[in-house]
Amino acid sequence: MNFKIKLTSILFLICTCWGYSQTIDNSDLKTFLKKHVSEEGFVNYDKLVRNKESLDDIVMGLSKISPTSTWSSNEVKAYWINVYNINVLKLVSSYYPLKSIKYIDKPFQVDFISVEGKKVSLDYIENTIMKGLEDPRIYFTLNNTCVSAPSLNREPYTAENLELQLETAVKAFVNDTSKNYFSNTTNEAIISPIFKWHASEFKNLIIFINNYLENKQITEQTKLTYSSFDWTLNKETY
Amino acid sequence: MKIKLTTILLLLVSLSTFSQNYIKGKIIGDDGTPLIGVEIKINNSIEASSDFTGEFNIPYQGSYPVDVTFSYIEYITLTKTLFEPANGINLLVQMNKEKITDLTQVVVAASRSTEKKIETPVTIETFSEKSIINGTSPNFYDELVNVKEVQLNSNNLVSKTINTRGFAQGTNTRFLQIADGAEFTIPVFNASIGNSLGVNQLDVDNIEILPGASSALYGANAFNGIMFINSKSPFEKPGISVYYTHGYTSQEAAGVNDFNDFGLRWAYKMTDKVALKLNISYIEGSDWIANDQNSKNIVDIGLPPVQYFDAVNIYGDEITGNSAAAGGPVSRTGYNDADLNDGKIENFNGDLSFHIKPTLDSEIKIQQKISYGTTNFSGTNTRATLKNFLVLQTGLSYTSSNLTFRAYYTVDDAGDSYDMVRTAINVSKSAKNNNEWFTDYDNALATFRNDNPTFDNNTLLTMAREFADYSTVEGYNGNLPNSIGGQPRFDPGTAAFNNAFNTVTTSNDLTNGSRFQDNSYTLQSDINYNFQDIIKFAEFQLGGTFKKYGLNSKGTVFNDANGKIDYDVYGVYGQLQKKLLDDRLKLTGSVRYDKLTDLEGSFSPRLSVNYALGKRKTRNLRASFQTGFRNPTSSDLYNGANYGFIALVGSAKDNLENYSQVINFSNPILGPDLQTVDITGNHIYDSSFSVGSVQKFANSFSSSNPQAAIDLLEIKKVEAVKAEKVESFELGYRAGIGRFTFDLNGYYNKYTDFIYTKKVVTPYFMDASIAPEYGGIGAAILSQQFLVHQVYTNAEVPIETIGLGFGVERDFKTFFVSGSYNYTKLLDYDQTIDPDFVPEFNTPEHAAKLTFGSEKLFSNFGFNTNLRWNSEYEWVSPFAFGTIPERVVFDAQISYRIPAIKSMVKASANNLFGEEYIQVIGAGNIGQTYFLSLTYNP
Repeated sequence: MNFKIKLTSILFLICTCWGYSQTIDNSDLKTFLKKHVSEEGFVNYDKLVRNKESLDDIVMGLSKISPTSTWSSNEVKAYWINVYNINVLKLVSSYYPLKSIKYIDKPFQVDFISVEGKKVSLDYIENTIMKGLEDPRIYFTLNNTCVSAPSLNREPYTAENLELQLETAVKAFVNDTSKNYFSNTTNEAIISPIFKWHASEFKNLIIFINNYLENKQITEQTKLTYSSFDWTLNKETY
Repeated sequence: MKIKLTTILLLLVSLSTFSQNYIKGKIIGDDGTPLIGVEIKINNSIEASSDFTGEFNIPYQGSYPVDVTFSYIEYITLTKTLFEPANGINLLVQMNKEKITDLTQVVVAASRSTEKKIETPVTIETFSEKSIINGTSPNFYDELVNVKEVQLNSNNLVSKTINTRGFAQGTNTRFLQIADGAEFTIPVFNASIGNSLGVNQLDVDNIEILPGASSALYGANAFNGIMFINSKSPFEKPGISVYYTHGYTSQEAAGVNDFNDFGLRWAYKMTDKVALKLNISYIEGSDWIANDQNSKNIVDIGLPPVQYFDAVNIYGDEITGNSAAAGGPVSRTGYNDADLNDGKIENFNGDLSFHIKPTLDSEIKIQQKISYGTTNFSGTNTRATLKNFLVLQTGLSYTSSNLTFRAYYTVDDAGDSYDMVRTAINVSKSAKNNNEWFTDYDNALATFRNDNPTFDNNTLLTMAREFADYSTVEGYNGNLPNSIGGQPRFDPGTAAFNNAFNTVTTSNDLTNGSRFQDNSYTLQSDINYNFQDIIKFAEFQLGGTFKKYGLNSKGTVFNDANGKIDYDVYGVYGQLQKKLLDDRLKLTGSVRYDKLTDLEGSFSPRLSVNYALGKRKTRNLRASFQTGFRNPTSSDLYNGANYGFIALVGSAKDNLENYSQVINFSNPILGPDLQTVDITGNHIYDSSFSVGSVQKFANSFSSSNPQAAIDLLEIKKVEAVKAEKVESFELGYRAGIGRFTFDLNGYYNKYTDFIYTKKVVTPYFMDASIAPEYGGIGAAILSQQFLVHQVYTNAEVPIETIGLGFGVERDFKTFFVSGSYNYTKLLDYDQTIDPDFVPEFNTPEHAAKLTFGSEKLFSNFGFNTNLRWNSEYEWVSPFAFGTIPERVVFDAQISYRIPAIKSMVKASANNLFGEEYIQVIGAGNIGQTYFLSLTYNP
């Protein structure tokens, strides 16, 4: 009896120790992103393919961790954003060179991401896990390598900086004239389909947009249409 | 009911499948504004363009993925791949502006349509507003001297001309200057004088210069080159801007004199469709004093200068007479150029235009321009003072995206202008006429020589001259002959001189006065249509031009004493331009036909090939064959002024028939009766001796062997003048490599029928039966019974030139640097074919330019420096010739911006640390110019 308790408590300790040491060391991810993502947010895919091993290491490292109930909501959000973004890169790098992620068969549905021992898809992370986090700002940090997607952050998302990082990301996306058009002369706007895909998660879309939109405001009367998503690989042209 | 439902369902279904068959969206620029007229291609074939909201809606039934390409001038071409049907959803397309480098900037002149500078079929140099802001020269027109291939020939702050590719002239009739599509050529000169009637510095938007011949597109006189100055649209750039410059010109002869230059631009945009624009500028300052004392004679006949000398800037000394006592020709005492004008120059330029835009892409413009001023001016034949000279131009133009129509009327009024050379001659004559002067000289010389055998020759000659001038010799106590008539010479500065000067310069009399009157006009109309919307396989343009010259100088310049003369020129042209091989290869072909009423018509073709290298088409090769032609000027055709000592006779067919001078004379060789001869234009051109042969004859005639001298006389029939032509082959390479932009070009020009003017001697009579001891056919020469005529004809020998040009530019973060080198060479030709013809190349073989500066060095200070070097070269013109020495000229400026009041202050010096130098032989030496200018330009 004594031995059993001792063993389980040791095991418990070990587990919690592991759990403790597993709060998240993003230094590898940080170095990796700095090396492969330019200041303007362009990913150097050629370099990525050459450094596949380090990429795999980082992916594996992240897969060994799992959010637990002790994690704060910011830690959880930061974790899943990083997991999503790095796994997209892993997926694309294994098929690169290619003109678009869409050339891969069912890229968002294939279950290739290791999470808690099982394999899930990008869709699962975005539409199940993240939906549960109830913060639509998250969707504006997800970079799926496409031209119409929000640009990839050079810095990993961290719990301490998450609030600022989320606000910055949404603001940059809403004001990006290549992704959202708000007319100066007529009361109309063409906005990214990301807003449509997650429409149910915005309490009030117009208020949300107005919160971040600079120099303009839209109203209930604004004629809103959604643009189509450009799935072309967002590669830097010289 | 059921049927209705199914029909509705069917409709809905078909509608939805219908909407799947469209590719649609909206195109915006980097600032988020919609782009209108973007060219859209689907899989490189289907074409459409975005509408005025930037939207497009193209039916597409094909497969996916599909490539859609968007191209728009000045923007980077974008290709988007669509992987699945959009299902009626809009594409949001954002296009980014291309970085405007020297190569990507857009030009119009090279093909009469918009294209990038890198892909022009011929060499083009551009000059932007930035160059004006960073410039070191007092005015933008002066600043053109720093542009590659441009040669600036200045008389002073107002009178100057520019030229490219050789054969520069003081009055450049071979270079066309155009402001907003209309020539600002002054009717009587057939040339522009500086920026008179041009564009106000504040209103200059950009300038394009095409060196070389471009007659295929721009007709007659686009021979050495053509310059387009384009002004700012009052719709795009409304508002007020002002500049004021105060400076000093410093020259040894003229001393230090100040100058002031003031300009204002006011553009008022009343509505989106109506605007008004007003420009005024006024400059006043001093001329560079012209005091070239070198001899004007090509051949030094070895006489002491005291006896016979004709200096470049001394007038009146062209008059020569024979003196038995001196044993040769003697020249009268002349007056200095500086004594014949007050050295003040001023120019007022104004233009008012009214603009209406009936539709978004069309514009009607009505404009009135005026230029009024006073300046000194080196014409081809003479030095003149243009005093209160007025030029007016009224124009109407209509431009739309495909059609351009223009009509304008230009007229000048010579005001109180006068010819300085004839002024000197006639002021001298009003004291003592030629006969009195030369007889006095001869008598005096003979007397002094007789009385003072010990005096040296020069002293005797000096004394003889003094007597001829003043009818006395100061301080001489010996015997003086009696003056046969006239009064002492009028010395400059005296009341007598001023009276004589005023009388002569206000008199229209050709033999005793020097005023020239003119009210000539030109009426020109151009039309151009671009068929780009109708003909799609290539870009096709058609155009035509009509110009009427109306000469009205009351006989003081042209042969129009008995009535105005007018003649017409018209031309038609077509151009085809096609792009192939993924827009890499551009072929251009154009041909033009022009005709001047009395001359033969001419065809000017042009062919060029342009190939873009490199993935992003940043390197470009060009090869072209071009032709150019230049019609004779109004003077070449219709001159008819008889000044006594010389008469100018133009060789248009009807002019040769109309010109006549009836002489009554008698000569014992021919008998006792009075003779009459009608020296007509045709007679002059058919039966005159060349000046050279007459000089040889007169020098070598001796009674021992008269026939030898007579045999030297040459009667050369002078052909009537016709258009001169040039054929040009050019190769060029333009590239943007890294942060450098390069341009390299080489050309070969072949000129035929070069127009030139020469003097001929027309004897009153020419009779082969006269005995050699009396002079034979030259008998009239020996009796001083001949006239000198200025005739206009073409060279019989073709002339060839070659040239090479290299330019490089690099922009750094803070600095900008550019340099250029040009090599221009006149090839050797057979000088025996037409010995009277001397090509007036007037261009240095080597010229290099360097610019180095910074718009913002620190806080709001910027600076710029310009360095120019040219090798030594000869300047030849009918008026004067000389050697222009090798020189280095350095200009520098520092500027300070004051953003709070949207202004800039600039302090600049031209020809810093340098010696005085000359650009036009006969005009004054250019010294230093210093100035401070303030520009307010919001």
